[in-house]
Amino acid sequence: MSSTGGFLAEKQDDDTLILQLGLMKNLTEKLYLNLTEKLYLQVRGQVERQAGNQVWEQVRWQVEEEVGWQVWRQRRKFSKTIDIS
Amino acid sequence: MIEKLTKNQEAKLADYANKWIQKGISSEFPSDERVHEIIAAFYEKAGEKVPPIRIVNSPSEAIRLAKKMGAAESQIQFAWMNHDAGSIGFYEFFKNETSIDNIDETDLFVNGAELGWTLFFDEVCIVCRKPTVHFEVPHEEIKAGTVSVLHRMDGPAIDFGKGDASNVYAVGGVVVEAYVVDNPEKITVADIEKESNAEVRRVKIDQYGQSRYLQDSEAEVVNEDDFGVLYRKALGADEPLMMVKVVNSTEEPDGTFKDYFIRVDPNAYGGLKTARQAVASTWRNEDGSLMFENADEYCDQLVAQS
Repeated sequence: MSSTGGFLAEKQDDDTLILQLGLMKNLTEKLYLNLTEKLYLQVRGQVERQAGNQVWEQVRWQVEEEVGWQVWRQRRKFSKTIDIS
Repeated sequence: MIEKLTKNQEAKLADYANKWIQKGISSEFPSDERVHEIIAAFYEKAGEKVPPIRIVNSPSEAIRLAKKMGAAESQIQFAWMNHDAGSIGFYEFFKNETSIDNIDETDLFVNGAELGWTLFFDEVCIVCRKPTVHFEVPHEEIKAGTVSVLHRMDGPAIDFGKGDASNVYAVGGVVVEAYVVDNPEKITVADIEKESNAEVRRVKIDQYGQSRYLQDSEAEVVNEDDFGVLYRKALGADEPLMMVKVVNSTEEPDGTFKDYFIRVDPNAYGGLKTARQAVASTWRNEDGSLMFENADEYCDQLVAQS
């Protein structure tokens, strides 16, 4: 059903309702996620898989082993947040 | 195109991992001016107007504030900033140590890692402070390959401030509810027995006191052998609770060996009578059937392996 005459239609789900009433727009994707995606593609385009994997495993993964799992603990509490790595 | 890292580049990998481990666990937070400078760079890069910035103590406080200011739940998406340490270290390595182009944005993220989780909105930017993180060892001992675990016995292991909903409690790497650490007197026999997670149960029993638990739960020692101690506690009309206490064969970093209480199926092997049977009964096939038809097979296999 659609809204008519300035009134919200019946039976719209709660999320839709909140979105229509929400005042703020989240820019995390535009400001942060898109840039990480761009960086990733730049590296992928200039580094062979073997060298990329070596840095991935010995830098990124090592940090994840020590730090990343703390994040998992916090993510459980905020299940609606997203993984931007 | 980089096909292979040079020896010199390879030699620097561990330095980058260790540097970003420390950044990932640091609770240091910059001045208001620096926060503004870091956040403004993200907005300006995307051609957006820099909104007012609010600094809060934790993600839960950020969520509360965002909702109060009119953000819909679906709009609450965090950028992880300092907790993207692994990825940022990866990009920083390539930017600093190789000749690849067009990755100057790495600096935005390197600077961004000075901050905690952040909500970028058009009307406001909400920046979280970083928690104080407690491990079993001091921060300076945490290095690549050590796999340290969260641990604190007198408060949250991930601490955003007293009573904060974002706090995480952990004992020896096992995440537990706040009362297990802050108010162990609230742990009861019933609480322990309904706990389904074996590691959390172990922490609760430790906090309650092992001998006290067995005494208070009026558990009967059914059998004791080389495999452990088998306890049984009647639960009225319900199936009896049976647990076997075993010693973990893996040595802890401090040289000790932890005791584990494992709940076992009282009906296994036609009714458990020995600790050996109890331990053997914990080995199951994918379909749930016993892996060892006879508990002695479990024993024989261990002897053959030794």
